[in-house]
Amino acid sequence: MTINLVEKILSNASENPNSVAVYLRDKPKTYSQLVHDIKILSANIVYKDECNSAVLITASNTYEFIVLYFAVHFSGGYSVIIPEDSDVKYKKFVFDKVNPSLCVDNVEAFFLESLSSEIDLDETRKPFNKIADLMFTSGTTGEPKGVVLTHEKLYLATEHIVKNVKNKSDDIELLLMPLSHSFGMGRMRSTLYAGGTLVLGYPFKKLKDVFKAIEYHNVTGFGLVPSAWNYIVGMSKNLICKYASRIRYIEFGSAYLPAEEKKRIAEWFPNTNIVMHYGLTEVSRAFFIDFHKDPLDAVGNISAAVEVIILNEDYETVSSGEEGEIAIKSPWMLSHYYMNEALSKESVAQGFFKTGDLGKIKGGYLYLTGRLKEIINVGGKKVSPYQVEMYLNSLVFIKESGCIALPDSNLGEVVQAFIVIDESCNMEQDTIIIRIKKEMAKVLPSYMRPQKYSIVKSIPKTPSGKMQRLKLLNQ
Amino acid sequence: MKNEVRELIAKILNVSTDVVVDDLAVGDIPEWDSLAHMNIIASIEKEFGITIDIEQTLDIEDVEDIIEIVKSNK
Repeated sequence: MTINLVEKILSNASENPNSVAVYLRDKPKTYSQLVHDIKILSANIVYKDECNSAVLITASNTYEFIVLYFAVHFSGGYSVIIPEDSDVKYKKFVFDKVNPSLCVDNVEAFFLESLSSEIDLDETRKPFNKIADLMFTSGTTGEPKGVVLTHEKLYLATEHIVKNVKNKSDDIELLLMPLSHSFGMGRMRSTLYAGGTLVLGYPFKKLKDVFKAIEYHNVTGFGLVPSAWNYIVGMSKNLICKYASRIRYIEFGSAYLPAEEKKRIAEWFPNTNIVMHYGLTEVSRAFFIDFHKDPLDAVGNISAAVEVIILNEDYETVSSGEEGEIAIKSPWMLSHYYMNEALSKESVAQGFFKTGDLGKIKGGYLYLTGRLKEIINVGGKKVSPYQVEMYLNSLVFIKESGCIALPDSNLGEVVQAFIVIDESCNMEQDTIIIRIKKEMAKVLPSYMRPQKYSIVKSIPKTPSGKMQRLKLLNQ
Repeated sequence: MKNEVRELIAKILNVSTDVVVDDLAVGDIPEWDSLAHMNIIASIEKEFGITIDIEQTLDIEDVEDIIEIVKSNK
């Protein structure tokens, strides 16, 4: 039997057809309904090109999106998910790269159209594609990288998350993270894998609704990025403690959370399984720490399921306790990068995926100590400095620019831009920065926009012309 | 006072005051994200010398709610 998540959902539906799979606010959708809708949508997916079954979907936290995502798999295609707030250039890049057979911008409309069609549900099944998902993630060269994930790998990664989070079939998860992000998708897949119930339609920004939803749906768990946690605490102090006895699990991830904050969370939720993952799109959630048992400054309790080594600059393994690049080998790591053989090769050493993060192993735990790659992590969303610089450099009054991460108490990191003004520009510095902010607001989603601008005389570079980002810090 | 609140919100969101209409709510525009929402509440407390309690904070969803809270706390 093929190992894949759609089969698992079908099996959950046949065991418990009347269990609720998804609540869209107060509207329930049972597993039986979910499977029915997946089959209907699947029958309505027509591939223009038999050789290319990519379906580009604009993500939204809706029941219809979840149905379409699995319907693509069921119809023998693979999903390419685009965040709703992507910039125009990013969307065009992905579209041109993938040349999708079908593009769905408005999942609700596609869903409604599909429901009106008459089909024989038994005829909809087609052989599964080898690939399940193609996920684009920020690359250090400015060009997003396509991470190819097969059905088997997605299944194994989900199984690993379920085991660590301890998801069960009677769980009711409030989905607070966006489904355009791999964390949100991971939570969605884990809940449905376990046969639990997913609650949608309560954006965490509207906290009063979130608290009401916890009570109304008897929510038992959720996943959060640290910036979302900071928001909850910033807005409502310790009000969330009121629900501690009913919350069985919380999964944190995607960005830095200070050890003191982890300690506070563990105290607020004494009987909750609180875990935090470490990983990347390429290796999924490779490692976890348990807030009640593990050292809170570690990022992972090294388990038998995942191998990790630390590499020196020559890609040789260093001894325990020594710092180097973290490299991971897991049964669910990416197959390869989409249409990029060179990158697929150079990302691996000794069969391990090189994360670009610096760390060390000590006493059975993995510790993060820094970063080799230049990606900026804004509240869990990865921003390539090259992408921001490309937009900055396109402005006539900017000669060149360089972007780096600026530590931020709420988001972990934000983008800081260093700019060199073109000699021909006569505007005052303050006016220039106001103009740049306006221009960036037109082309970049808010998390990618620089939060601090510094005007400098030059951008430090190596003799070969490569930007020295670390030196920007001393400007 | 109403205009002062609007101007303060517009300044934090880095948008024109024309955008800041009564029913503009958190999440309606990309600029009004969770971080901006926290900044708005903190700035309102500071600028108008008021203290907004948790219950009131949770009630704030749009511009009109903020104006009402400033009025009731003054």
